[in-house]
Amino acid sequence: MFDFLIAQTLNGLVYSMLLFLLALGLSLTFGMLRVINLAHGAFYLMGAYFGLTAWTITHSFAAAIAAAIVGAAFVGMALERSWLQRFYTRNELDQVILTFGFALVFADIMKMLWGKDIHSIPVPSLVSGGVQIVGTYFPTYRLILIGVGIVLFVATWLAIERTRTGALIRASVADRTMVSGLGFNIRLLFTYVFGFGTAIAGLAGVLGAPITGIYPGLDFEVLITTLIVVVVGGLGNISGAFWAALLIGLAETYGKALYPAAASFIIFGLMAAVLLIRAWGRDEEDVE
Amino acid sequence: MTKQGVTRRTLLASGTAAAGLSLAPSGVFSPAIAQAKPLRVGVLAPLSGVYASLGTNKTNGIKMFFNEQKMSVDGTAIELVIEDTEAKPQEGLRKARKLVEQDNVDVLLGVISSAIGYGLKEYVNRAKKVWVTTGAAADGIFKKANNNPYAFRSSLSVYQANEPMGTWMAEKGFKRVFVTGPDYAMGREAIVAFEKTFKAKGAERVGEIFAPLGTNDFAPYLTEIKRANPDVVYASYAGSDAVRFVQQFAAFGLQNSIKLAGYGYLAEEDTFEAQGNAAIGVYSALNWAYGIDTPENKTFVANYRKAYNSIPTVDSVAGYVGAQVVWNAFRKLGGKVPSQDALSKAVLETKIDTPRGPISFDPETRNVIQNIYIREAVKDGNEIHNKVLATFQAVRDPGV
Amino acid sequence: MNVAEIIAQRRLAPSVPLRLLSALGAVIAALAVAPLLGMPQFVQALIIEILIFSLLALSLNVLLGYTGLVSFGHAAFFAISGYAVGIVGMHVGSDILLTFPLAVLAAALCAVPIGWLSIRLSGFYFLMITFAFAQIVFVASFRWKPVTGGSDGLLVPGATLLGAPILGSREAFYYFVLAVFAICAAVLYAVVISRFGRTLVGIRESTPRMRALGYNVRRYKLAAFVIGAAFGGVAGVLNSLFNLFIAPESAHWTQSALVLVMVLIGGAGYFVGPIIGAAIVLLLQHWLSSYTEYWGLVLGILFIVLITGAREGVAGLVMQGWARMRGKVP
Repeated sequence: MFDFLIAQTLNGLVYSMLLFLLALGLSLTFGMLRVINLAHGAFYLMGAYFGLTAWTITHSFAAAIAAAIVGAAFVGMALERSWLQRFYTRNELDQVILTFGFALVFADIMKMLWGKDIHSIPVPSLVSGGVQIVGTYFPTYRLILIGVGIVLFVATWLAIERTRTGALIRASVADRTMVSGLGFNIRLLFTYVFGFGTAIAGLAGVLGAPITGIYPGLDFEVLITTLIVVVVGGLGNISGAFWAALLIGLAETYGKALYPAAASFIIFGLMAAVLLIRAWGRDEEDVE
Repeated sequence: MTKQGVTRRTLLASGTAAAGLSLAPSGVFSPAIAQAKPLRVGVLAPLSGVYASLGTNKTNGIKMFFNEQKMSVDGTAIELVIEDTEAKPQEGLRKARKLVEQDNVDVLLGVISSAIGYGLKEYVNRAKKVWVTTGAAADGIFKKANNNPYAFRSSLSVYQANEPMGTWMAEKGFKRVFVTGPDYAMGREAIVAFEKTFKAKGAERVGEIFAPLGTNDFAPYLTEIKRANPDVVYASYAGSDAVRFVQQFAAFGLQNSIKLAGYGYLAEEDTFEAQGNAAIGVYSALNWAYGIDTPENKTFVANYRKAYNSIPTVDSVAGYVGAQVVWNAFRKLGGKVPSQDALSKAVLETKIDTPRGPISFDPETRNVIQNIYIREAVKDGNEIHNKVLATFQAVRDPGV
Repeated sequence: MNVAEIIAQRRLAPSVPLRLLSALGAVIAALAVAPLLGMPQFVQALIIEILIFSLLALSLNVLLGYTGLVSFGHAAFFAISGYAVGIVGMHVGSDILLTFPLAVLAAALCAVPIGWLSIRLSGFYFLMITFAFAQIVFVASFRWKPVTGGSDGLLVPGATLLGAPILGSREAFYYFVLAVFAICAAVLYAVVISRFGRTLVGIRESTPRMRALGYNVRRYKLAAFVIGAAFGGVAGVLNSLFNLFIAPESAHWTQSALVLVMVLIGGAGYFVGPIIGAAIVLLLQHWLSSYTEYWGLVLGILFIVLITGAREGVAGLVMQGWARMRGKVP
């Protein structure tokens, strides 16, 4: 019984960290820029593909990670600069349509460049083994992912809460005009933040590749799950995203292990429940 | 990764179709070809969406065969009209209507998705158009009860492919199986077929898990599997699920202690690249194997690799064989189709040799009767391929 | 004068310009005559599908364009009624007088609890909760094999009337769909120009103001939701009877997204916008995929271009172009 708990909790934590990496970028982008980026899943897949190409050439996982981050950040910033900027004042629905359009465009471009077959990046041989934890064998790579997720959470949180740039970002969210009136280049800041968000998505893609594989369609699969995590955690709330990822990751894992038949409903039911609980008791004003 | 510049809309061949299998632009017949009206084959395949890579392999197989026949039969030219079903029933039916009603095809070939298969079988019965499917493997689509003269399946039924595996594994000495698969029709049907014969030989099932749609991470299940301590795991995953399951099975250290076996799609030529060494040693059952040691198959594999610069998969063969069936029926009728009923009769009487071995159709279900191969994934130089361990001949689907 | 009337006067209501409406009427008349002039079977099939999806898009626009509720789960009702037709047809009877109303009722009834819960949220959260409910419908249709046929879908028995099979020929079905569409469009039009409709617009423009004026906003929103679901249900019935088949894919979020896109491309601000959008998206998707497997790319570019340049959809472009042609400022 004990080893069952340990094993499934660890499984849940790994899944949670992957979810968090995805949700972080999207939540950050919404929180800071008030932009709902439905192309977020595309950046995940993009990162995985960039990583795949880098790995195929160099056989180095580190190179793959670098390629993923740089590639996703570059495309993200290019997108933001060229198009997204005009949409900051538009309403949410317009942004949804725009980013959805880009998601479709990216999906097909990736298909053109990398084909339709299923690919994968092997786990770096250094960490390809496993460890025995209280009787169960657990792959080392997954343990590392847990660590990465936690480190990234702490680092991002510190960056936002404790650094000057973070303060700047928080201030811009609160009062854009004031900050730019004080002489800061808001536009550039937003571009960097967006790029950071997409870079994280790309990082998640390449780190997740040995587990999820790389194939067309993964972008939308991942997008749905990410949206759910972000909604449960609260749009724009980074710690919220972390706790939501934990909740959903563990709930789904235990759900799959204990009640496989009901597992599909868990994630949607959970989101609906959270949304309704939040809305209940509130007056009829817009919950936004 | 393969790129094929394709003009999908219509393929017309010039009389001098090159051995290099290039695609001629829609154009002119050489005078050497008779003036008879060309025969039109309507091909339905998923070229975008979830099954896109399967659909591409399938159409590659179809095109390769027709090109080998120089896009003609008995002096009559053959045209291919290829349409994308996007693996969605709504779109699949729409394209079928287009091919039948607007393009006036002489025969329909193709379809992979079983959902489309169910809907299409009814449509072709109403429209009275012969359809040879190269996919749509769900057991229920071709049964005695819903047999109709126009629908044929030249690929396989899930039952037919998995049933022999149960017998073979039990005879090999495996006694305790843990079954797992995706929680939808195909996943479950494969397990049912396997268990029937496996248990009939006295073996037992020690656990089962059906993964809900969209499962990316099998970790929770692998933990459960380990605890149940089976001597073999039988899995019916396909596509990206198959890649993940096999990889994660190995990552969790199960590869060395528990045998992994499954429905052929678990370990097939299109999953090996991503699965890597995790796939080595996996047993599976399917109606084809890369390593089938006949001249027919060896030629097929060599030609396919040269033509498309990629490794043929079971879907490539399915397309090729479907095309063989249609072409041979055309030839039997002398290069023309006087009526759909005549075509239907000609297809029913099919008895040909294919890269998969000999095939024919069961008149009670119009499902194919064929060999089923038990395969093992082995390292072959730099690549991994399936080699044949055993052959079950003339396997048919019971149809009930 | 109450607020709704003020708003309507100020042209904040989605316009139902007479020109577009008469164009619609002319199109319907032309469609009625076309088969007699030899419209090919396959084109009839395309028109049937365009009419079905136009109805679905119109029904969504009751929520979206008029009430301001952006639902990402509208396909759920399309699927619920579609399945109901099949299930009733298989187990009770395939008489259309039975299956049609029961199926629409099924969709409307399901809309009550779903709507009641969903309207407590708005904006992006409303989007997500409607999405969640639709996904639950999808998963249910995918898994509930004994009832829905599971992942393989459900064969729908052909419609009968008092024992005899009807609507067997393409032409018969064509006229049936055309008639149903015309009636439903007329009813929806009557709904949106009525007082009820203008109240919905008022709610879209400013919920607090409407509440302050004493309107029970929640009740109106729920009514809009159920009406939208009911007409979406009609579309679902027509679709099932046409294909004689339904699969879980009809409830998938991509189907909801498609309808949403149809409304937005056509122009949510005009009554006929969704019809234009449905025609464009359906035809584009169908034609493009015959020529390239990268039709997603083209569709994506279309969205980007339209949302950037043509905010009011194609209907809006048409109206602007018309106004420009007559020398008026758009």
